[in-house]
Amino acid sequence: MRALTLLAALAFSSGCYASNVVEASQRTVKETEVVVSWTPATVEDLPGFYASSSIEGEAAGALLKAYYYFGAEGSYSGAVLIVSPEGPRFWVLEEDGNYALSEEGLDLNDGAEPVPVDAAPGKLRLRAPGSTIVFERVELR
Amino acid sequence: MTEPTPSDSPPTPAKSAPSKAGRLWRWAPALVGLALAALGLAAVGFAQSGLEIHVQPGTAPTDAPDPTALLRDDVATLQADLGALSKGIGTNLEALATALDGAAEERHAEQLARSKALSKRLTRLEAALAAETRESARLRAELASLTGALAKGTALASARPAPFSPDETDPKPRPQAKTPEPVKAADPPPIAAKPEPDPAPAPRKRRRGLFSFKLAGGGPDFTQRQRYRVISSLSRVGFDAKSTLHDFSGVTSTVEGSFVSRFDVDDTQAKGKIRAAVKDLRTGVDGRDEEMRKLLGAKRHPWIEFQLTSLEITKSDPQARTATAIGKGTFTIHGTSHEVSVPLAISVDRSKRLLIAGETKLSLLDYKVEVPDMGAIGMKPDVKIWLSLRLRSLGKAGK
Repeated sequence: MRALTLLAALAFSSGCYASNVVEASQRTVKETEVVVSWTPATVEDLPGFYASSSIEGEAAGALLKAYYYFGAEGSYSGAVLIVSPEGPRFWVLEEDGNYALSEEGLDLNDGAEPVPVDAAPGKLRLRAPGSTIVFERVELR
Repeated sequence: MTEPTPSDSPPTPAKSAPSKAGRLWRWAPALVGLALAALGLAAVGFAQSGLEIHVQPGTAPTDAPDPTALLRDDVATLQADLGALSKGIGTNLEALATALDGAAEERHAEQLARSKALSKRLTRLEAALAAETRESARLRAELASLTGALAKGTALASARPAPFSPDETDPKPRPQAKTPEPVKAADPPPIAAKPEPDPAPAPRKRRRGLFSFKLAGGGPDFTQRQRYRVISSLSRVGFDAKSTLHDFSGVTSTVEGSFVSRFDVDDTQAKGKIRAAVKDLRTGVDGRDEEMRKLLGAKRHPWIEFQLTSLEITKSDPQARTATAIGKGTFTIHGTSHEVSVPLAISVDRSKRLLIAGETKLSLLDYKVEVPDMGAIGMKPDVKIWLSLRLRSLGKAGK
């Protein structure tokens, strides 16, 4: 009698649980897409230290991480961690460079054309044809 | 009055007249006395007369030349010679000055022409140096790209874009360097010429823009054996189970591991290990999760592991970077291992990360896992193990 009661309770409680099998199409982890209100960056948005949080497009094939430090006076320094034929390697983009922000975008004086740059609180987004890199501001302690 | 010379002295008496001599000798004192008296008188007179006595050397012969005249002649001669010499010097100085002026003009003209020639030569050399500098920078960039391409391998270089290709290294076209003019060995170096500002900037270290790293040796390459590392936060491993009352899944994102393989042909040298943490498996029911961890012996066997030993490619498109394969290896659950074959689908996402999805069926009984069974209510021992992994390529394997 006691066993039947226990079995009935288990069956009843188990029946409360709906089937929660993960569908095959849902097995892949979905990257969280946070809605960010981007606006064209101004010179006040740039100063600070940034680390990339998202790299999409062609650049993502080689870039593992990107770092930039923008000074308020217009100087900057940058480096990236790339996948070289020998493995991950840091590459200094510029040790002591100067940037300029205009309507064309952010000119890093690195031999490339100015790139559009957007800003959101604590974030920067650099865009180029086929690639987008989002940076998060990192506090230097 | 002159003093008597030796030739005026009185003659000496002869020995042939002793009588006269004797008499004279007898009168001698008187004679001497007289002579002295006369002499004294004469001296007194002389003193009173004021007569001066001059002593003069003997007169020279009357036919010798007058020294004064000779000296006068010599002076006159010297004056004439000096005048002639002065005139000659003045003439010569004028001639010398004239000659010097002419030579100076010639030298000035020569130096001017030489300076112009040197200036032209310096200009050519500086232009050649600037061209060499630009050419050197271009060659260094090409060398760097070729070195990277060589490291990547000949096969890859022929099928894929070369890493750090020149157009990516320097997006701006460079002017073609001109061939410098040959330098003659006999020409002196233009050291004295004033250096002009260098038209060519000093060669800078190689720089690259942030977005120039496009497929530069990175990203999954299906045609070479690469090393891949699991991105834990973007990967999941789970199982689907059936019970009498309802079906459920257990899932964990605590996944880690790496492997090495290629995806264009069968790879019998593929190897690696992927593992998932038992303690983090979740079914959605806390009590069930706790029971499950006990049955799986989470404390003694905290990991469910898959050891890859080979990869059998069933279909591959390296250009599209898609493939299907059978991953073969050892599955370990509850400390018990069995050989398994897991069908896999391989692709690349928009962030150039490798996506691997697969599943296989197995019986928990084979792994000595006690399956809950309460008679009419129980869990079936056959479960479906599945995985959905995102991995980052870390480049060519071998190091």
